Amino acid sequence: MRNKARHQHPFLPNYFQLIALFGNPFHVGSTSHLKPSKLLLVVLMLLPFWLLSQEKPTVTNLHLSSFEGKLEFHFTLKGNSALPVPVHLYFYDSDYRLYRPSQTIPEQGSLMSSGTHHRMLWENAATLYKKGGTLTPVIITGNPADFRFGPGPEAALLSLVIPGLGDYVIGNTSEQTIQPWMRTVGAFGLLALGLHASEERYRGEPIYWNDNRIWKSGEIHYKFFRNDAELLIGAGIAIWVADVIWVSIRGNKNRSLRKNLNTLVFEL
Amino acid sequence: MIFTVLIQLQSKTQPQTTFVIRGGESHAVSYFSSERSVKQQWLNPYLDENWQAGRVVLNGGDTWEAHLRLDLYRKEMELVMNGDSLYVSEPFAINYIELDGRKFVYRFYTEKVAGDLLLGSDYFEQLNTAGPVRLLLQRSLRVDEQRMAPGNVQLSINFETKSRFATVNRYFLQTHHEVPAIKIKRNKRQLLKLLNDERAELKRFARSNRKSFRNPAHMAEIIDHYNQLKTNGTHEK
Repeated sequence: MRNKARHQHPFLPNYFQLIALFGNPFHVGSTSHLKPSKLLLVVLMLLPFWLLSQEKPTVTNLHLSSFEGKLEFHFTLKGNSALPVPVHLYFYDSDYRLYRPSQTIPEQGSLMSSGTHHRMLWENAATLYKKGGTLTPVIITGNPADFRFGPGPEAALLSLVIPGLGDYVIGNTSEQTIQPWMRTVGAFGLLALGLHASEERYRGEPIYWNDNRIWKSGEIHYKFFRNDAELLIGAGIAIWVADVIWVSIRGNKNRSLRKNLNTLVFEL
Repeated sequence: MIFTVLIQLQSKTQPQTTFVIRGGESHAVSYFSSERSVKQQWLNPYLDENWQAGRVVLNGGDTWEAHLRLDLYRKEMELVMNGDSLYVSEPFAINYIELDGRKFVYRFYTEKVAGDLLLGSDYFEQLNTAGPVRLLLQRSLRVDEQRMAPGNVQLSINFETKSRFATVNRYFLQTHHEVPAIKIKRNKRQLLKLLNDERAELKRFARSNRKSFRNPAHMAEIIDHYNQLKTNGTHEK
């Protein structure tokens, strides 16, 4: 059995942090007591974390093994809910069409609790040969009709505010080669460098005729390299725009998958 | 193993054309033709268009002698056996296929693209001699269409296009026979990461024998050395 006490929720502030913020509510002394307004504030602050902790378990650490044309999916169900949830195995292809394997052990929709070492065997995985192409496995917890693959393209608005922010909302960032924080640092860093280069740019002393008329303008002195400010700012904006487009594409994918899951699913 | 129905048309002396029937489609296979048009060369989907002598070894140990060729586009192994033209319809029932001195296996594979895990199955050429760790080469076809001459819809003149198949080689590593093959890059870092338990010995082996981690033939030798180490259990440090 899993020791729940050892698994602190990553978003939940611990007891000592709360005491540091609001004082100890169980302290009997005369100097510290929790006023109703403070208590309400604590409840309001904890509410989203509590709601988050009540969500369905998420699937992590998915890996596969195969034998005799069968595929076995090993995964971890991560979540605080002690109640078992129905688990379904689905696939989607490059056009986001959903496929549901029929012969699985345990059966589709079997109840599983949070924890490690969960397995689901797809017995007729050899049909993958007849289907051709590649498929992406996805393990759905709870009712498939309510399953959300992630936020839609509206998450791109967050990337519009801060590059990389939308990626965190979309999720699954651990597998990305270029992490979202790199995009934030890259975009803001290049923009800052470009603005700095622009401020540091100056024109040298012009060359005058004898009557003090300017014969030739002075040469431009760049901070880093020729046209540095334009190139650096351009590169920063390019990273920013690319991130918005990337998040939008991934959001569209989530929306298509959600729509297809509720409309058309092929049996495998 | 289930083979498709076949019809063979024979001339007076030897078969000229064989028709392979796959479901509702039928395909003419001219394997004695000595002349090939340029168009056919462009659209040749086979690893080698000519039939090669080989043998199919099933999981149970049974062996079938045949003439074979690999269709890279459909990912199918075609074979002519006792005058019948067939294709392998249950590739997971096959242990391996020997073709022109090369060993082919059919495996599940996974690769990660933009954070997504893609799962597929295909024929691979096994580059190293034996397991448990196998270096596998996947050949797939990419169809390039090139527009040769402009068309005109109003005059009903079609665009003249030229289709060309380009073979794409990708390398996979299967660390255990019960694990799908995973796509690898041809570099020292990734190979050593996957074979981490013998990292130091493999580096020493590659250095002393001048083996490159980028050359597929050398990679196969390094993996063979790794397998030998694992089989022997111990090695001199």
